[in-house]
Amino acid sequence: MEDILLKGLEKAQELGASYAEVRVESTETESIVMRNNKIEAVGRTKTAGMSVRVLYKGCWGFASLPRITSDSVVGLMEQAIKLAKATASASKSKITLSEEKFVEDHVEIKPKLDFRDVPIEEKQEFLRDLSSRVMEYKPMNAMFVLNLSEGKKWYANTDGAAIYFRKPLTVLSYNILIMSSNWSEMVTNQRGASRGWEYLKESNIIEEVVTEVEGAKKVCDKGVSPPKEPIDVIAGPHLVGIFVHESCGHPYELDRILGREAAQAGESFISIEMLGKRIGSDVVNVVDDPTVDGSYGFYLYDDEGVKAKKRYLIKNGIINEFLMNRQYAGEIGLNSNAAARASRYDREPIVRMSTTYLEPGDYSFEELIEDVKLGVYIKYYTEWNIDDRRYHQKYVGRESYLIKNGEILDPVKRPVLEITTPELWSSIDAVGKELEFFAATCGKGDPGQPIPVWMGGAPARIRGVIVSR
Amino acid sequence: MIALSEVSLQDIGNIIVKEAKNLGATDVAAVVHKIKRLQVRFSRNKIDVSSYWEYYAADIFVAINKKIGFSTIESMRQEDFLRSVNEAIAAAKLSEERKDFEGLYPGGNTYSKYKPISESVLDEEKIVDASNAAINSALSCGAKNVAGVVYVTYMERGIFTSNGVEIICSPGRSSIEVSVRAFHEPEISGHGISVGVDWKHVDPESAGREASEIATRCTQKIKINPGKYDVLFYPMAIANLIEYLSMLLSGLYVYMKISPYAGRIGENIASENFTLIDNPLREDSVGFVVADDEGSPTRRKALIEKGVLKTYLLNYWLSRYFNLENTGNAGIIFPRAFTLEIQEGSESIDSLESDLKEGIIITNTWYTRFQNYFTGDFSTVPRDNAFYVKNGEIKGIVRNLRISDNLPLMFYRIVALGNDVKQVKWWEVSVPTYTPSVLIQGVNLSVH
Repeated sequence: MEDILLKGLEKAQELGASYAEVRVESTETESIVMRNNKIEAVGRTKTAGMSVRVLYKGCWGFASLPRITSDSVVGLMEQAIKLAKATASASKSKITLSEEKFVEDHVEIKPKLDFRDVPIEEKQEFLRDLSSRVMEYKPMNAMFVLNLSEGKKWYANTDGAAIYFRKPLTVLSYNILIMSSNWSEMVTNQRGASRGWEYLKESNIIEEVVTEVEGAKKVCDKGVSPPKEPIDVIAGPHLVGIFVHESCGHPYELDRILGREAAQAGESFISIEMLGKRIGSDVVNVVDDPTVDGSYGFYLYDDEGVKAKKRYLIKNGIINEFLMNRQYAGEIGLNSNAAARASRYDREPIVRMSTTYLEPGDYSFEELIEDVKLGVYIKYYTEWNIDDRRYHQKYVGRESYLIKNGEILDPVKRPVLEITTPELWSSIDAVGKELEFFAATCGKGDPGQPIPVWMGGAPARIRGVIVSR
Repeated sequence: MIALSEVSLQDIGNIIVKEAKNLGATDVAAVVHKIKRLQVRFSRNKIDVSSYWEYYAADIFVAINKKIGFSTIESMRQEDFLRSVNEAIAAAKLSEERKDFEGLYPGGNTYSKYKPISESVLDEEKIVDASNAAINSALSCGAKNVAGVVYVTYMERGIFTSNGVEIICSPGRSSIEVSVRAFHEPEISGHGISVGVDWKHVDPESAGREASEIATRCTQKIKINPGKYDVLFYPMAIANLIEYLSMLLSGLYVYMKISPYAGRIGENIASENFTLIDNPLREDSVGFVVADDEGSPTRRKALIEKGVLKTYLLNYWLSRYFNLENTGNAGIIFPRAFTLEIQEGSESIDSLESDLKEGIIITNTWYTRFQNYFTGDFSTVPRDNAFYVKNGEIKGIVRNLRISDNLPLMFYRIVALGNDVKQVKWWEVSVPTYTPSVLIQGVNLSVH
């Protein structure tokens, strides 16, 4: 494989590219679909291919093919340079990349239990145990999709990086429709990690999913309307996870800030000049860290070969750092912090999140709620969305509870938090101790690049907001 | 372009079906694609990247006595396709019998003729010129900052099944999509698109102009109160909601009992002036197909006619399950629309706007999410300029809007449709949709 990568890079230099990279990936996936307690379908997918990206006279060219040979890497380089040349003739500006240190490395995350070695009966048994428990709540529909995979990646660039990376991914996705006589709730979620079958075998996921369904059933059966006046909200880690992802991670992507996603996923209300300015209260610390052990979006080198590290996006309420790749970090005179990710062999690396979370504070859960006179604890959210500058957002609670005088009481039906990003981060006055993550699939890019991420954090207390619409 | 694999679609398709039958499959369907695609992305008034993709891929579906397996392979080597057949067979053996599955389309019908389009549409210089034309057009109409994308795709497609279907669309069809967003200020923008099957049918300059005209039509920001408003949805905005409506009309969603339209055929489910058609055979659509994924001939049919639900989007086994006529919309697992059409109204867009006593014009939307498919409660976030209109005059642009409503109920409240039909397909709308502007009464808006 190294020969193919090398041949591609040599060809690029021969053709006059100032920079080139080659990425080869192969992925093997097994999918099992269970619906209403029956295995409805099983799928097995293998993809393998490569892509090249070149800078020629300051313009990018990218080309991809599902074939991994010396001849095809040469053909791809020629095609990518042809494209960059066509652009360069009319180009108004030239791209330069940040200077980084590169190494050769070999990273393998070996699963304890490779999914290919686990008998299908064991996987069926897991799904059947889970489904049987959920069916006790008489859902209208209960669908589970188990995706078990392993990906391998070979990467090299003309600046000296040569990385091999192999990791497993295990994810359970579910969509369960729970009903009562006059109300219904859709329980949709994912649980996943960069681990093998052991992730499901050793975890408590069946109980966690059943608890989610039980909570939705309680809301259907006994939910009351949320209070109309301004109240305090205790956001559980699931809701905190979507806060940090949508209202911190995305607006801190430097390509978005500089306008590259303007026609698709949008821009950001955050500007370069806001670096170092306050966005939230002192207790708010938001981290994005690709190196969290076992995390669903785990990597040690990004898809530009830059070594990954923990990044503080918000530190003590201050905008501390953006998510950056080499192009956009170079444009503002900084270094990349290894946020370039490509979802597949045929996608260009773009700025992405990995594991984004609200760093724990020092409050126990009991301490968070003890002085809440009137509030709502939102444990799981359902519908959410945010504008394309990441300023004005909506989160709807799926499983929520009324809090009165520090005590958790009745379930609450669909509290709606509509709030701006600065209001959200400024209204948090306390953060809990317990850190929890949830798997999610983040969307961005054109063509689309769904990527695995974790998002989560510790529970947070938000003061004086309206949740009744 | 890079030389494609010498293996033909026909060779690959036949090999897959033969191998799967040899391995014990009782039903086999293979959809084989050969795709070449060029893309230019631009932002800040300049090109960001030019890309080229090439695929040779197969989606393989097998059943062994109602036990279902599937596999997907992207490769250019015959042995990989054979290996993938083995994977699908192995997968089916691990599955459980699915009693409702009544096999694949039995074959025997004839297919519509189609006009192939040459892959010469894939032209590196032309796509760069088109991108620059879109940027310059938007700038010349007053925009200060322009971003967007141009795609050119050429695709050959073959469908092969164990029931004798063997249809090969080679030479194939092409599509060109131009999407332009123009900004007057960071929060004052418009979006324009031009979509067609070849260069004669797209106009990058008009997409840039449209985006810029929306962005510069009014720059005065005003605040409104939250509440219910009459909303005039431009084609890009309504197409986004129509796509979700079509998802809820998929036979699979109905089968799973998570669609609000389950059991409602023959009932009024929308305003009587609303007719929704799926027309895969529309020659000027970038979604044109003569056969679905199991080889059923596609056809034009109303899903909703004058507000009445006529049928769901169905494949063969779901049509048998519901005892309805097959609509030719496989996905064997998930039936889907190919090209949606909203029957146009009689009013011009100018007349719809000038007749609006008090309301909002929403030009585009994104991030549509449901609390619950079964009830249809959802919200979506208008993006690009939304205009507040009083007595037919635009009074200002409104920021930080959100539509929070119920999708099925909204379609009952359609009061008028324009005659400004256009084909919509872009980042937020994947099913090509021909739609005019649509006026809906009493849409619930939150404003922050």
